[in-house]
Amino acid sequence: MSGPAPYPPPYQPGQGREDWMAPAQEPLPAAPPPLPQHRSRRATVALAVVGILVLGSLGWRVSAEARDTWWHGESHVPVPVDANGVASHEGVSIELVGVERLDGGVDTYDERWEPPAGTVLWQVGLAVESTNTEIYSLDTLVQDTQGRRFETGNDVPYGVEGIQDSLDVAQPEPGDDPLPAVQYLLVLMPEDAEPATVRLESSWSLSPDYFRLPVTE
Amino acid sequence: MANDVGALLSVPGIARWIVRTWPRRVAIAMVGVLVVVIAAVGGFARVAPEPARQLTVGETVDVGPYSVTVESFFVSDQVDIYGIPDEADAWVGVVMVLETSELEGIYTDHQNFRLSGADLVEERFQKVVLLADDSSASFLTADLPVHVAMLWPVRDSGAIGDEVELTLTETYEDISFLFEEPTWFAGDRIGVVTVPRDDEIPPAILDEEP
Amino acid sequence: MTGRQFPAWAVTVVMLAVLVGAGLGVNALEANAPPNGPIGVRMTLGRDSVVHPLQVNVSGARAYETILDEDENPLETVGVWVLVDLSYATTDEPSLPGDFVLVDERGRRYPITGRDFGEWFASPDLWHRGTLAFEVPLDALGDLTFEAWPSGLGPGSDTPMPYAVLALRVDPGTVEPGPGVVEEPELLPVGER
Repeated sequence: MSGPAPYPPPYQPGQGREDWMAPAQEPLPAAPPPLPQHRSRRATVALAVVGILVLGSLGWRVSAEARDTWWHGESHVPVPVDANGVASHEGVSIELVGVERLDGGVDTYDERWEPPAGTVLWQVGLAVESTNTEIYSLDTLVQDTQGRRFETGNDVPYGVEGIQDSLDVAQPEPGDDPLPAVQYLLVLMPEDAEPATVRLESSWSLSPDYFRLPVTE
Repeated sequence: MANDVGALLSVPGIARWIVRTWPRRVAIAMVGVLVVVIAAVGGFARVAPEPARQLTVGETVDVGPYSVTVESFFVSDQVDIYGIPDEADAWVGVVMVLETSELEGIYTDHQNFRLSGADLVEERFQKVVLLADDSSASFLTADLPVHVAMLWPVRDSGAIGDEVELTLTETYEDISFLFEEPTWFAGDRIGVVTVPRDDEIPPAILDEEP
Repeated sequence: MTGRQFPAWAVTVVMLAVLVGAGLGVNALEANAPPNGPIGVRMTLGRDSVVHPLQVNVSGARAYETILDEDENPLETVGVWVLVDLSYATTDEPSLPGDFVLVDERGRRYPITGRDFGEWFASPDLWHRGTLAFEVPLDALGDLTFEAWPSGLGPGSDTPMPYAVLALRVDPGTVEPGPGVVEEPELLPVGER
């Protein structure tokens, strides 16, 4: 075989052990032929694909925690609403009966309650049917056309006839009263808030799914 | 070539290198003899722990994150009635003053306190309440000393005598093994306080009879 | 390449759109999540400040030797009580603020007292006015820094979160014997603070 001598040179008995570590005596091998001037289209595509795969996999690793907490913990997957306006998920069916302005305040068990100037009290009616035994209640929020979310039961009076503090979802025990056909909740919003959707969420039992019921006129 | 290097760095290679000449063999043998001699004179025996230093009531002891001044203890089932675990029939409350100089404040740490002389449900204290108004004092803020009762649930509270012993152990802050957050680790035992009983309980922490 | 599939102006427009979009995205990310841990946002006394999702307006601070708890009993302290009067709301979602902290000149940090009272729940653009009570040693008075943390994460966190910072001066000489009264948080008419 001709060509450049192997490097490092083979060990020969009798020589010092360190000989193979000596600086190269031979000239360096010739440079490889230059790459073609024009990379083929296939190579370009392959490079792009590899780049995307590398970036993607790095991003996937880096975002693991964010995906875990946000993707699974935040309510961001709306349950589809059928043609009758009913959304069903895991045995819970919910229909939005109405969102109405309550102008002029409401009567509580002991006094009249009027919203502060510039705010409006709204009443949300929801019809819930459930065969689910694990979901007891859902957080009920009204989202306005500006994307602000207001939770029912905050800043509203207690002890109003026919109004519940929170939405009951659990299937009642045998012998108990059945769930009311329509449950009414109160929500307080600024005057400029126009209800757009009603959101029903639970970070414990439902996320990332949630009910999103559009408010129709 | 590479095989030679491998042979030189392999375990048998090293062993062979060590026992190649007489001076090396002698040195190795001496290390062995040394170990045997140390073992023979009892050098590897466990040292008995230092006897606990006796601390006195009223003495202010720095345990690391805060200082502790123990005063007395009481036994009561009228303190935090609804918080007593089912297995327990009363609380032992050790009355003390706690003060920290940690800038960010600090939580009281069960590692600093060990109680003996009562049949504890759990070795850790369960809560720290402010004598003035029964609110939780498990978080201490800098330079605001608090007069508190530290509560352990106990079984068989009638058998508790006139003294209990509270062992105080130092803790120190270090970065935990996984380089996560600074953590407090238990250090040396500082000493033992013999705590006298005083069942006169500040009325603010007494619950009404249920 | 065997010929152009897209006219040059279309390619230019698309590239510009991508560039501007990426810039806006990064801006939005940075506004909500500064990359280097918590970032202090300076507040002004009596002005609305936004630290997502919180809007805060601090009107002042006062100090008392004693204050009354919710049952009107005086709360004893070896220090003094600093009461911070403020109103807050959120921007777009219901939220319980994480932490309110008073920091003194020596860096000692005092969270709101756990002995009584507390913070209150906030809703978008519905402002509540109330009082936060801090128990501090007398020698902490002087130049204080008030911090409002929308999330419960503290200064040691590496989570990129903005928090609001306000310089508050409470002179040791202005401590009143009291007892100071901590008002219940009150829902305000729109526009009031």
